[in-house]
Amino acid sequence: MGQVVGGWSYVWASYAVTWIVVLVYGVNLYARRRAKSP
Amino acid sequence: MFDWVASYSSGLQAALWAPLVLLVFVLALTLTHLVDRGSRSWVWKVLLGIAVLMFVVQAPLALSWAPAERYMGDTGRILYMHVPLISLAMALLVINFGASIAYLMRPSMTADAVAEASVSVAMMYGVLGTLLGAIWAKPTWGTWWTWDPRLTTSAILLVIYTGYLALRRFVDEQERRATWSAVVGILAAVNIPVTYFSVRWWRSIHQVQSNPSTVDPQMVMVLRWSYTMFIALLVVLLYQRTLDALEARKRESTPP
Repeated sequence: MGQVVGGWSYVWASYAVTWIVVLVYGVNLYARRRAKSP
Repeated sequence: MFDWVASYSSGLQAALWAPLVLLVFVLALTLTHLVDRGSRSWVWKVLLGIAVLMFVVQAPLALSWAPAERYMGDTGRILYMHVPLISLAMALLVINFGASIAYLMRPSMTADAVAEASVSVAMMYGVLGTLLGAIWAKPTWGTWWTWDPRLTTSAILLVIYTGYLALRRFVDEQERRATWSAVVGILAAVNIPVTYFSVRWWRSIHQVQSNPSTVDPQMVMVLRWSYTMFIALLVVLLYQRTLDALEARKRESTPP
């Protein structure tokens, strides 16, 4: 059995997607809480 | 230093590591919440700081320090995020199951808020984990998606809990919404063990759960680092989302 060669673009894409989704969810939650706080 | 931590961590069972860290964080937050009585709690800010710091350190650990996997090569590095995200999404759905039972046994705003918050965060973790799984599958399996038992049951799980969140939007009356959601939460939980064990019950292209004794200690250490990082973030998000849901219920209960 061989080894998958390369594939770094997929790894970078995974990191980009993760950081963006976590950031968007966190900022969205923060903004919601700020907007609703008295 | 990382080598020392890796040699130390290899002696622990991975299955015990994540629940232990989660328990410690939840206990710390619960205690502080009880003491501070609300969003003034400072522990979540410390946890958020820890999570951010761990995210920054995780990247060089997973992308450079950990060795390439024997067959998957460098694409195996995606699993340091895919595995914790999916398993923690399932853990959050178990929390929803517990909160749903708690609500039906003794109706309270807090149990309903925890149930809603846990599914909200679980969906974010689950969808993100599934996306990373698809990105990983392309170079290793040669396809973004296939109707394999694990992938199919995961997709069904996500669709069911999307329906759960939709149900919460459609019902206006607070008590009826909480009761219906609790019933759906309990019924939907049947699919959690089905998804988890699908790789063992049916012939699947997806790997079965790994054992630390068969994995390089450096890989185990990075995986545990990633678990702790996502757990710290999970507790912060779950805590804030629960407070958000609780405040929404209080506003609903207050006459205009």
